[in-house]
Amino acid sequence: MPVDDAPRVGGNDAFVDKLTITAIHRYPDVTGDERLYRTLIKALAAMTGGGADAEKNYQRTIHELGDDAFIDVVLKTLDALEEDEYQERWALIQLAIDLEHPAAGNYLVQFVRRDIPPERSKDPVHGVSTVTEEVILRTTAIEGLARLFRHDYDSSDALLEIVSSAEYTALRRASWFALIDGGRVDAIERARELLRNGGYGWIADLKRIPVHEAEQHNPELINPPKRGDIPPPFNE
Amino acid sequence: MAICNAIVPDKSATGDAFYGSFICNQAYVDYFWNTYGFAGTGTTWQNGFGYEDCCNTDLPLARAFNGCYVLTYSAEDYLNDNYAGACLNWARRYVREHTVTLTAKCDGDGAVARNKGRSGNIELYSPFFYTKNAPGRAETLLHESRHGALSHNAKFPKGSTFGEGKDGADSNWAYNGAWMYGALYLWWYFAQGARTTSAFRQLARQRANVVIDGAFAEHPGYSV
Repeated sequence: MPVDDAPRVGGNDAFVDKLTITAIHRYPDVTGDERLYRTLIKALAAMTGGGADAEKNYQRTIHELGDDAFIDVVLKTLDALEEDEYQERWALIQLAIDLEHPAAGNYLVQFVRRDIPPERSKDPVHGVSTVTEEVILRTTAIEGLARLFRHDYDSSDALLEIVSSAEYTALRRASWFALIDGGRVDAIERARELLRNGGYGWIADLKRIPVHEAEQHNPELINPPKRGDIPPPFNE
Repeated sequence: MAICNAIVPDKSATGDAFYGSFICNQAYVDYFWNTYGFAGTGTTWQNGFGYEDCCNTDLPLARAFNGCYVLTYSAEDYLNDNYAGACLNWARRYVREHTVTLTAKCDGDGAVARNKGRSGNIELYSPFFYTKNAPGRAETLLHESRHGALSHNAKFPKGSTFGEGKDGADSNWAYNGAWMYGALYLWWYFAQGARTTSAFRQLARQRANVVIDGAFAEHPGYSV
């Protein structure tokens, strides 16, 4: 069989890109205690694991943790990360939340009050919007505060501040629902008033629904499958 | 030819430490390669993109495979990919049927991925491999596949994290555009994602909500 080495119109495939790994990040060890550090990495790996037993493994792992020293390590490691380490930051925030340790409350309150750094992406629509990443970190933290109401940690004041003044809808919405979950009637009424006065009254009307109650895709709008290997006739 | 550098995030945060141990199996490699548009694109996965070392999750190809693994197996009954069912089930079918080629490149002018000319020829750029976790890559594959049918058709609303007033939003949920497909996938992943953890499912919920709040000119009126 002859080798197909005919030149390609445009030549694209002949000039493929080249990628070089310049660094491999690891969580910094802020503990100076190898055993504690290994425990942290093991917990994070369980958190992002997969397979039939993934959730069981994760729950077992965090059940064995959660003492004051460990939550302190989680939060100190979080502070040691760079701004653009969004995935690593998310994992530590989520771990702190899943531990449901009241000691995380003050940290999360301080975090959600932090200003969001300006957009760093040159194309936040098609690329990774750093503002979106920062907002997701904060809505995750707000979810953590919602859970901490169950442990008598009341963050209503911080949540009301966000409801009142956040630049991004997602933050106002997340705070509104966290207050609902907290169940403090006076705070909920105050939030409703703040939303209405700020022109965001519609947020209080949003419905949290199960996915099967949401409008699903319309199968009739699915385009026919691609059959990419047959070029069309000339000039058609 | 473009040359790019990449920094690998901690793999215990992205899911690559775990999924990587699974995809190092010829049966998965063959299935993903021949199902999701890799076939015929081998040259683009060379030169540091992982073709010669397809189990190495520091490199793009294995990380793309990890996304394919999530896309393929996150529904409990993954063999059922009927379009009448849950998005979690049919997402893999949609990508399979609407991706012609899946190529690797350094840079797409800041983009994560592009469906070039809505042709089904999807290019994956460095941020796809290194700024998305494994479930995020699955969602991106669906989002880009949907662009074969529909482009974004509206401006981002007030309060959007993607840039108020900029082009790139979908007009509404019923448009059935790429944002809707992505958000719906994440929503189902949160609700019923199998072979994963509650932590990743919570992340899917957070991302779905931020998309719902910011990527539709007209808010759908609900929240995850």
